[in-house]
Amino acid sequence: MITQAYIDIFENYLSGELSPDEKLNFESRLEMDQEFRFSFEKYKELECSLKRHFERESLKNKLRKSDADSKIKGRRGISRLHIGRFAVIGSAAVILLSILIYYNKNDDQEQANFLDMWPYEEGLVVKMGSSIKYNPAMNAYRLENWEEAILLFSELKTDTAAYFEGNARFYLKDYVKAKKIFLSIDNNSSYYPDAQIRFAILSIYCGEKQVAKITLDDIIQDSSSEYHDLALQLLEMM
Amino acid sequence: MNKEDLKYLERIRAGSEESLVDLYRKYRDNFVTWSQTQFSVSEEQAKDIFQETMIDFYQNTVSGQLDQLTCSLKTYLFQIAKFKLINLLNKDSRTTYLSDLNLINSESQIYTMDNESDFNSDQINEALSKLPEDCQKVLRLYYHNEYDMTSIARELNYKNANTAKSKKSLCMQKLIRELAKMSKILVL
Repeated sequence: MITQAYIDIFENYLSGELSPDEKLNFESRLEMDQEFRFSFEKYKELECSLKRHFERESLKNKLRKSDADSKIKGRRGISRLHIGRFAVIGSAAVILLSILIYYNKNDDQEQANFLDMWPYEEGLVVKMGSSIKYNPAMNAYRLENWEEAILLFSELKTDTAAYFEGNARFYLKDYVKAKKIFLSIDNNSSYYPDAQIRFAILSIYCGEKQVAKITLDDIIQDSSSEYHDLALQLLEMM
Repeated sequence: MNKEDLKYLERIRAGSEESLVDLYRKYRDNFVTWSQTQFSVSEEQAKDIFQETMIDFYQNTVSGQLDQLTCSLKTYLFQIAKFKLINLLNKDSRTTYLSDLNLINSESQIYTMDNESDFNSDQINEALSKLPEDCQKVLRLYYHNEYDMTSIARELNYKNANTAKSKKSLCMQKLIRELAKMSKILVL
C-alpha cells in the first residue's frame, strides 16, 4: 500500500523540496528497495491519470457546451427565417420594420440598464512584501489600473486570473472580450458562479437574450447561490 | 489527408482546444445521423461516444502518440467512434467484435484508448466522487488548474501553503484507499 509517509516523501521529492542528502537517500532507496520503487511508480502513474482525468472532464464540458450553443443558434436561425419571410410580404413590411426599429432603440437602452446590475468585484486582499505572483496583478486591479491588470492577469493562465481579467475588461467597457473570458471559466472553478452571472449580464447587453435566459435559469436552480435573487431579478427585467 | 486536416492536426498538437471544438462541430451531426442509422443508438449516446472519441484523439495527439495519419481525419475519427459504439453495445455481454476491430486501420493501432492506462477516467471519477468535496477541489486546483500551494491556500481559505500541502497529501491518501478498494493499486 502507498502509505501516508510514502506520499509525503514522494511529494517532497517530486516538488524538489528534499535536501541534497535526503534526495540522495531517496534515490538510493529507489534503487535498492523494490517495494518502494514500485510504490513510487504507481504514485507517478496516479498523478498522470489525475491530470488526464481532469483534462478530459474539462474538454467534455467544452464539447457539451458547444452542443448547447449549437441548439440555441439553430433556434435563432429558424426564428430569423420566419421574421425574414414576414418582412417581404406586402406593404406591411415597412410598418413592421418601423416598429422593430422603435423597439430596438428601446432595447438598446434597456440592455444598457442591465449593466447597472453588475455585481461589484473589489478584488482579493494583497499581502504587501510578499512575492506571490498574483500580487502585482491584483494590486493593479484594486488601484483600478485596468490595462495593467489585464496585462498581468493574462499572463497567469488560471481561472482566478481569467475571472479578474474579465472584470477589468468590463470596467474598460470591452464587453465582448469580457463575455468571452467569463464563458471560458470552467464550471469546476470556484469563480464559476461569479463568472456565470456576469456572462449572463453581458449576454443580455449584447442582445443574446436566449443565451442569458439559459444561464440565468441555470443559476436559479441553486437556491443557495449568492446570485439566486439577482438572477431572478434579471429574468423578471427581461 | 488533405490540407485542412493537416491544419487541424497541427493546431490540436499545439494544444488548441478551440480547434478540437471546431472539428467536433464539423463532424458531430454527420456522426450522429450515421450512428443512429447503423447502430440504432440515441442522439445523446451518439454525441457522448463522439465526444469521448474527440477527447481521446486530442490527448493522443497532444502527447505525441499520434503524429500522422494516412487516411482522412473524418475516417479516423469515425472508425475509432465506431469501435467505441460496438463496445458500448456489447458492454453487458463483455464481448468485443474482433471483426470490427480489424476494420480499424493502421493509424488506429497507435490509438490509445483511455481505459488502457493504469487508472482510467471512469475509475478515477468513481474514486474521486467518494472523496469529500474539499478534497476534490484541492486535487482539481493542483492537477488541473496547476495552482501552487499558496494559491490553493488562498482559494480555499486555508491558513497557509503548508496546510494546503498537508491537505493535498491526505486527499491523495484517501484517493489511493478508494482505488485500492477497486483493486487498482496493489496492497503491499
